[in-house]
Amino acid sequence: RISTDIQMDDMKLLAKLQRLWGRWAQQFDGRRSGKSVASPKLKGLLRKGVPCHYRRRVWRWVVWSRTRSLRERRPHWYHQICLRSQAAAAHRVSQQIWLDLETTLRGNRHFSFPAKHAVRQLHRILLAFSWHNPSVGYCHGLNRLAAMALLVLQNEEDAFWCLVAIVETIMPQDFYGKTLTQCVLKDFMAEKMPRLTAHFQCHGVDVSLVTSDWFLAVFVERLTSDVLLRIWDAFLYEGTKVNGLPDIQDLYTRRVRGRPKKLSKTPVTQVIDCSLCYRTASGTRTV
Amino acid sequence: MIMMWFCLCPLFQVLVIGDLGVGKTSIIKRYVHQTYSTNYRATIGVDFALKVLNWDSETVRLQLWDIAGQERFGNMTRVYYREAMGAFIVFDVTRPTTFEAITKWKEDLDSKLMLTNRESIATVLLANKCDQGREVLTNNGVKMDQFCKDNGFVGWFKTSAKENTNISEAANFLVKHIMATENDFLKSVVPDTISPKLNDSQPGTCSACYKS
Repeated sequence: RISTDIQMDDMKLLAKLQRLWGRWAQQFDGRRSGKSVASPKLKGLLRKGVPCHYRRRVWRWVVWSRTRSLRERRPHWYHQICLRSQAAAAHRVSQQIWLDLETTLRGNRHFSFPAKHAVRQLHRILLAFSWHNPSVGYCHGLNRLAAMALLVLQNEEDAFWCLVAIVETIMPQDFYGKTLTQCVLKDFMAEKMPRLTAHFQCHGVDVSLVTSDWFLAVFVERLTSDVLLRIWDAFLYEGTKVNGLPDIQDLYTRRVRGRPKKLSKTPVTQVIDCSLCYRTASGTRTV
Repeated sequence: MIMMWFCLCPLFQVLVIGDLGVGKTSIIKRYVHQTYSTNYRATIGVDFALKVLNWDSETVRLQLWDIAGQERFGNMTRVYYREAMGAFIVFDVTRPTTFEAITKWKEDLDSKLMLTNRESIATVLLANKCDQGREVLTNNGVKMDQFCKDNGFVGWFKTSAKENTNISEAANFLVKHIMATENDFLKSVVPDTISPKLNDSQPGTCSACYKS
């Protein structure tokens, strides 16, 4: 009897996944990727997880819509900035990037040393970004973001724009700036988890020392790839609230204006739930 | 019971600082876990490790603070300098710029942290990656000794996290100095201590509580 129950559950899961696939096909097949529009339906689909073979298209579209105005204004920007930054390759930033690249996603065959094609691409992307946004320049963590973008998007220029989208449109201003702070997280914790916050305070523990790594690299190399990819799917589309934080920017503004407000439930648990469902169906993969 | 005993052992907080990529994390991993890997990521913020040492039939705990080398993490991490009792400043013998940065790190440390007797904390200089055979900087030992003297380091060691050279020696040397400073400090405290005594013959200086 138990085995028939399990079979029934499997059938239900399969039917559910097939329905989801159907909706993905409706949303994306037969359309040019630039033609999709943001909608609550798409948001729902993204929260449930993007099937692997749609992921590249979905991310390209999200990144495109986030960086559209800039790219339309300067169509060859990446190549121009690449040339400019390569001319000054002996720069200190370039050396910092090389140092970090030796240890970026080492477990992945595309990034294992000695210098593979993908590592050189990653170096170009990060160097170009440091020229594109000199106020951020290069910060530890950007290497992992770019590596993740390059793995999924499989195109150097798209990965560059994905980095631009994250740093300039999703994360709050100055998140990667010259002075990093995590005051927002502490406010959030104080409100959501007062007992834990009090316990930490009692022992003189500052969580930001640990958590800055998670947020700066958006969990890359901190979570298993199936959960990570789910979080990134929703993160790129919806922004920082998927990180387990409600909209950081919003909270930041509220903090600055000194008007604390009740916060809504975060969707991070929902994202993880969905990823578990996919894990049963597709097996675990590692980045 | 064991926990209580453990908590009573002296705990020394030791900072490990230096430019990015000089091998701070590798040194700590080698010292605490006896392992070496080329796969350590850049430290973001701070990492911690605890080493338990047997020192003259006493147990000593070293809490090692692996501080991120990139400048922009400074604001986040330097707040935690104040509790430290010793420090390692690390540079990479194959990269002269990391050696030039030492004075900057030392000045920064001294400006943030002073012992109560106005002396800076015991600091040891580590010339890491000496296994790479390109150590132009440290070939002149006399010069290095002079450099340490001029800049307030208690000593320096050529180390290699990869080949496990001199790391525990450097740590023992630092612990010895921390202990010595501790003892000096205890001695120096005694004369300043005010011990309340009964039948004190000295008249009080405050007019409110001493009225004749």
